[in-house]
Amino acid sequence: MPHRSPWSQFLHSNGPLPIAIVCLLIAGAFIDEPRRLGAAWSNGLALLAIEVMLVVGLKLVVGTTGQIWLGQAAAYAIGVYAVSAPMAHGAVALDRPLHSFCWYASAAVIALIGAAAIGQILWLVRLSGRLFHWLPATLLGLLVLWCIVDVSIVHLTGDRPWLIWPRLPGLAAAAHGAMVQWSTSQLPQTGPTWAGMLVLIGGAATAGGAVGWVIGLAACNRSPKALLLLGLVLAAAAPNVLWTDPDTLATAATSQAQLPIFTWCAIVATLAVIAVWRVRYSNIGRAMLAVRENALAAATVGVEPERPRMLALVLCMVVAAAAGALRTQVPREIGLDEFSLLRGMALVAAVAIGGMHSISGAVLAAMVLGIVPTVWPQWQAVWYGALGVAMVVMLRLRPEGVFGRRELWPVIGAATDARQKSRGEDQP
Amino acid sequence: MTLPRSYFVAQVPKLLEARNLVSVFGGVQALVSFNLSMDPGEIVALIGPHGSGKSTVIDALTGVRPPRSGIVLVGRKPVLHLSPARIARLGLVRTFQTPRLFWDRPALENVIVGLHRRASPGLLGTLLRSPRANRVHAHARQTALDLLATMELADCASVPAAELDFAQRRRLEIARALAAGPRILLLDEPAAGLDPSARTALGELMLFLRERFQIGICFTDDTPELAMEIADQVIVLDHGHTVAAGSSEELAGDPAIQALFSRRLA
Repeated sequence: MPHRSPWSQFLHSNGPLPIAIVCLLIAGAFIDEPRRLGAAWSNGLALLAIEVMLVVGLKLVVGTTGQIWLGQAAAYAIGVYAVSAPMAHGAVALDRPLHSFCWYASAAVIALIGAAAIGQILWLVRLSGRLFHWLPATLLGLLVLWCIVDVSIVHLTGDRPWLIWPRLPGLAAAAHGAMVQWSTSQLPQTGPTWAGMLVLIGGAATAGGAVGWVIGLAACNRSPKALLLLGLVLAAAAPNVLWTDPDTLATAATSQAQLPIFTWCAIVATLAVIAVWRVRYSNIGRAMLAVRENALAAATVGVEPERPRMLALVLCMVVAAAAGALRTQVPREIGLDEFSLLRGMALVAAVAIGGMHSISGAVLAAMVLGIVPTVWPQWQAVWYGALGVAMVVMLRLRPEGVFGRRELWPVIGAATDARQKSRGEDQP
Repeated sequence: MTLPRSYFVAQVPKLLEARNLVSVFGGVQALVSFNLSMDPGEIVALIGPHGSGKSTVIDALTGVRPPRSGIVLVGRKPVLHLSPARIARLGLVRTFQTPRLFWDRPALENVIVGLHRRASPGLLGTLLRSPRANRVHAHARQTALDLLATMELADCASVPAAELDFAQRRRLEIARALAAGPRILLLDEPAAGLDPSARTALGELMLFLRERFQIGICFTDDTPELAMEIADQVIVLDHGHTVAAGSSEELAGDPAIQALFSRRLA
């Protein structure tokens, strides 16, 4: 093989990316034009691209690191909520990119301050264990009790000025409002909608990643059951949060198409697939696989097992939340069943059926299995049942999934694949 | 005033030091007051019959099964509370009695996993395939190929680990451990299941690795021959107790050791 410099390798490996985006822009110009295919088709195809994002992100967690994660639909809901809630309650809008950016940045600052304060309290509680080993548990219990008593007093007798815990959300909201007002006072009020969409995707992805990081901190250094449990909790909580905030759901459900949404979904989905591909076939991906296969052996050569697991979870939730942000702009009604546990299970089924180790298998499974709930949503419940049966049959007959470890790469370029194999590497 | 040489010798920290290690499994004392100190480039052999606590020492040193009490210092850093991965990053890298490889992955990838700490260009570099990331990946691949060649596995680079024979698996595991950049390589029964000629070759390999990579090697074995041939320091264990310790010359004709192994054989 002729030697290439790193820069020429860089151009060689990234060269197809702009070409793919130009192709998608051309296809999008055709599909997003209402007089050609119609809005129903372009919306359906956009939802398929979103489905691909959800399944491909999940593939990193379930397929590559071998964890069990049923909270993907909930992560999707976080993306929807992170865009719709500020639209419903704040002044975030597609045509106000700078304002939206300031809103998210202020929220991030408030969240960081809150997290630092909670972290300090927990650190002090943990430190108290040096005095008496029973002190941390006691102090933590007292803190929780104090919080419950405060909230109960508010519910039973009304607000009291000396209460602390129930006032904190209001204080945070006031501080956030002041920061947004201060930061946007000198900025232009309007801007291009594409920039607004980028800000919304970035805000939602950051929120999803932050939640993933917190969950990963709690679960990734423990047994797989911990992540399974937290996924179930998140899957149960997410639809309920949206249910208790009807304004947000209504905002998401009634938003009108202001963008060529298929083009957006297709480009972001393509970037997500490429990102997952690059992570999987890199040294990071090898570490993920190593942890999946033998965590102890990986640890004894310096790979901290929780790090690849956590990275996979964070990336998965970033992709899912970005998909949620895109979903808010698809002008089709949003139902709570899109974020249900059943949907989370269906996404896991798509990964398992497509091929636990194959990214192209996951993409194809998402496209094939996503058609029914996208095009015929009334058959969704029956379809999920059929997926369950298909998964049982698959586990019996072909447990590694339809594609197994194979990628579509050999079909596209058999020579390249053969060369990779002869060099003892996985596919690029 | 000139200080005596012993003063300076005392100030130089040992590369690895274990003091009074005690391990208890299910009420049985697997290790009793075990002591070990290793200098850079030293070869130490832990020998003893089956069940004497050799693997327990390796497990305790590498954090796989932390001991109930005792002190382990790498350089001067106490490592007893650290995870196996952190200990490996400090230079204490091990292999297992039964090789633990990533069976479905080719040999080359097994070794590249060992390079993870030293050959990770970061998430952003990986996503963007930056020139630095390409350089790092290319370097990792070349280093892994060199290590495979060193271990005489160059022809097996693309062969999945599961398809290698037993001796090749052992060598692959050592190559992966070397990739992690050890200061001390801990080999748990590397000679188990090998015929006499392969054992001799293994001894030569250990001496070669010490010279080539400037590392200390601590290995366990259930027979004394290999240890007496190549080790600078030999520690004899029986039922978790240290029966004897010293250089191979000192222990060569020790009747207690001969009695221990002949008794077990009988």
